[in-house]
Amino acid sequence: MNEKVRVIGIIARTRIKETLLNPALYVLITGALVFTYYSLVDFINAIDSDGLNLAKTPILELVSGLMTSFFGRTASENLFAHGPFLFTFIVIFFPFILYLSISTAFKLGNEKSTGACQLVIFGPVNITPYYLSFLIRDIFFTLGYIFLVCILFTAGSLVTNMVVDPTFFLSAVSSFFMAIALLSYGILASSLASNGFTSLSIYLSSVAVFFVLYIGSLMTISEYTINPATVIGLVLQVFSPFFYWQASLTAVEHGNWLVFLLDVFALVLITSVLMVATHFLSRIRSIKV
Amino acid sequence: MIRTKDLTKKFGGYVAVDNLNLNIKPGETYGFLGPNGAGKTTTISMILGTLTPTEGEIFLFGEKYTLNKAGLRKRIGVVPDKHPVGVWTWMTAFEYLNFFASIFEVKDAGKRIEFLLEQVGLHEFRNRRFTSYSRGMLQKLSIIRALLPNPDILIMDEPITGLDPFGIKQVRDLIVAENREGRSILISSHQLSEIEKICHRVAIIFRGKLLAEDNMDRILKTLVRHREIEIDVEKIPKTLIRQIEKMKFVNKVKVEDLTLKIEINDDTDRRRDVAEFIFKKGLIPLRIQEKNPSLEEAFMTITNENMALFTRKGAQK
Repeated sequence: MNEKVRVIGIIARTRIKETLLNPALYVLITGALVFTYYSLVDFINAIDSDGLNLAKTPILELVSGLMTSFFGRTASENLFAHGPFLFTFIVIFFPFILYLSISTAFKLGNEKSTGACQLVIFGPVNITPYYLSFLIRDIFFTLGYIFLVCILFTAGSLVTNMVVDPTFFLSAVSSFFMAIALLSYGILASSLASNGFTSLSIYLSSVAVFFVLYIGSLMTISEYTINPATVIGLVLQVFSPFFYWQASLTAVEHGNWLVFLLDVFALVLITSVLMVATHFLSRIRSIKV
Repeated sequence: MIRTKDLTKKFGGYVAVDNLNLNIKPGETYGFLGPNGAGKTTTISMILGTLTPTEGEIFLFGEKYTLNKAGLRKRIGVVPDKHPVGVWTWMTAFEYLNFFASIFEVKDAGKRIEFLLEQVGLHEFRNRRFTSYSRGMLQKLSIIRALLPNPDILIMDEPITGLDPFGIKQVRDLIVAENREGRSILISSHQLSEIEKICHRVAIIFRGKLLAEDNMDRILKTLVRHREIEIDVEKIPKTLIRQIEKMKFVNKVKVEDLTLKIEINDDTDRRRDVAEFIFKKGLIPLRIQEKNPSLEEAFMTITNENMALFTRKGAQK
């Protein structure tokens, strides 16, 4: 077996064990279960003879209000149009991805500054397999979490008789690739930083920029004017996983499978570019012994 | 084992390592000395591949080393000066060692780990989380980790810093034992007394330049210019000091209680000359001893001379 693949496997296994031993994982899963339960119950309670009436349940009304103010009325209505599952998925998926990516960015930076990473790369491999082991861990847990959510939703569907729209599963696929692209930004941030806090700051700043651009793209703009800020925004959007994710959700909504596949491909491409950039950056930048 | 040829590292305009030529031979314990900021860690980083040289070459086990030859590093055991703090907190000492044994493909890892833990007296603590270990225990654990793959050479950065006297002795004994097994050892340190006790050869680096590389005896003989003879006498008349100072091989004389400390300015053994002179003056030398020069003195001499050299160059500019 290739030496690098072997070492990536060993480090990734250790990372997975480490994450499984962390109580934060179980707190998030418990939170997701509780939220799913209340979301489904509230959604059922909100249905009356006129259809869906979110005003009947304070929590859904609040969430819907927040979504409308952030993303606009159309986005909010679309989210609830396919039943409670897509909305619930998005609410429970983002905290999990945020946890994984923060953990990746911070831990990698921290392991570099404390000398833990050096102990491994003094061995038979360079630092790239060390970074890749984090990506493997992140893929493992993101897939596992999505799988768990799918089981949970299927069970919820059987109990409540609410149908899980097939488009939900496609949204889950693009959400997975969006998450991996976001996590890759965490890895890239750590290759630029020399400690955990710097790495985390770089990562959170880039996510914040993408998030602001994402919200901006969802807002209804009556008159579009071209100025340097909008140009920079458009350029940055090309690198934003949120941009392709949103586009993929819209493609699913319209049944445009080619566009959906192209968006997923773009997310895979971003991940690959980020990992290649991480590899070259780590070669250029030194690591303190 | 490890050879560097004109190894240079520049950070912008600052030259951290300047045309360094080191040669660590098989089976020797090699001391790599220098004050803080001399370029020791930069040199080691380049040898270990975590830093790319600006110029020059590194040869590991006869092969020219490049980043793509990471496999060569498998034959090097590294004991860094710091221990990872706040990471892998869930691991026991055994799990920690087992993790590295897997990475380095150690055969019969369990047996080897048990054997090494036994050797350094950590066996009974193997199932404790290593983060609860004391500094001395961590240092021993770090040495075990480095020894796991049975490396041809062990590189140790400040191996005894922060250890108590008992810990220092244990680590020193371990280094000596490993060297007796035939393992080459490179120790980077500023703890000169320890280096003196265990190293066969020494390299002194200052401001990135190699000032001296030789065996201990030669370094001491060459660099310690002012040797000293200590003589205890029953009484010291004032005239005696002035008379001794007039001897042509004497630099100066200091008196401490009833001990004369005579600084000699040549390489000849002058104990007989001094003793005969004192006899002639009607006094009896009670004890006569030539004080062995220490590496610390050699180090101070060599770095001070260079400091002066640098200062003069600076003044000329």
